[in-house]
Amino acid sequence: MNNNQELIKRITPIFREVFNRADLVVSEELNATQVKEWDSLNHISLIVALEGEFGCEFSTEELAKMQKVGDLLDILRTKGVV
Amino acid sequence: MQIRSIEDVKIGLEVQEKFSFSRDDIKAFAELATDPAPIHQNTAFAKEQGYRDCLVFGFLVASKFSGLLGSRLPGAYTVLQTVQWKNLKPVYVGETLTYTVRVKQVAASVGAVVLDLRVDNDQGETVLTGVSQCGFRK
Repeated sequence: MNNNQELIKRITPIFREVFNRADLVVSEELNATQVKEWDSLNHISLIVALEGEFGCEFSTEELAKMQKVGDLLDILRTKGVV
Repeated sequence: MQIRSIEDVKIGLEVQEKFSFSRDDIKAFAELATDPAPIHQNTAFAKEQGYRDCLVFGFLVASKFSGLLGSRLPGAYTVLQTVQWKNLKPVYVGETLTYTVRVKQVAASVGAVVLDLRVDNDQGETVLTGVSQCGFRK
């Protein structure tokens, strides 16, 4: 299992909990347009949950770069929390 | 301290307030919630069920957090986004409860604050725990 797959395995329960979708398959290409529950309020909850899980804080610039899950993984890696 | 922005909120910041519910509170809530369940207003019935007195509605116990979150911590410049709680033990009419709200996490980039919620009774038992997320308008 490569590093991204391990990370996706770790974040999948968070995405499923926030979006209340037990069947949600998280991939590097997943983005907000593909998940109808991914609205502005749930986006806030997702960021809060991710910051809690990884013990980090995202900057507004980092948030702006997060267009898909793969971007999130890249940012987590650059922050040195994974 | 007046909290006006997320920069004013720090992890560990805490407020406490004592409160007890009267029979009138329970009657008013029963009407509002259209919940006539006798365990909340009929002492004899509550005792038959093994309780020492009428139980305060679980939703009513939690409702005090609306005021604490909305007016004290994180305060009037936020709105409630999510809340989850567990009622752990019975709460009785007239029992003195201590409500605690404590900042657990600050997510500044999205203007959100996560707060631990707790209610203890006068026996020192925790009767409710919960977590809430509140957000500042950007």
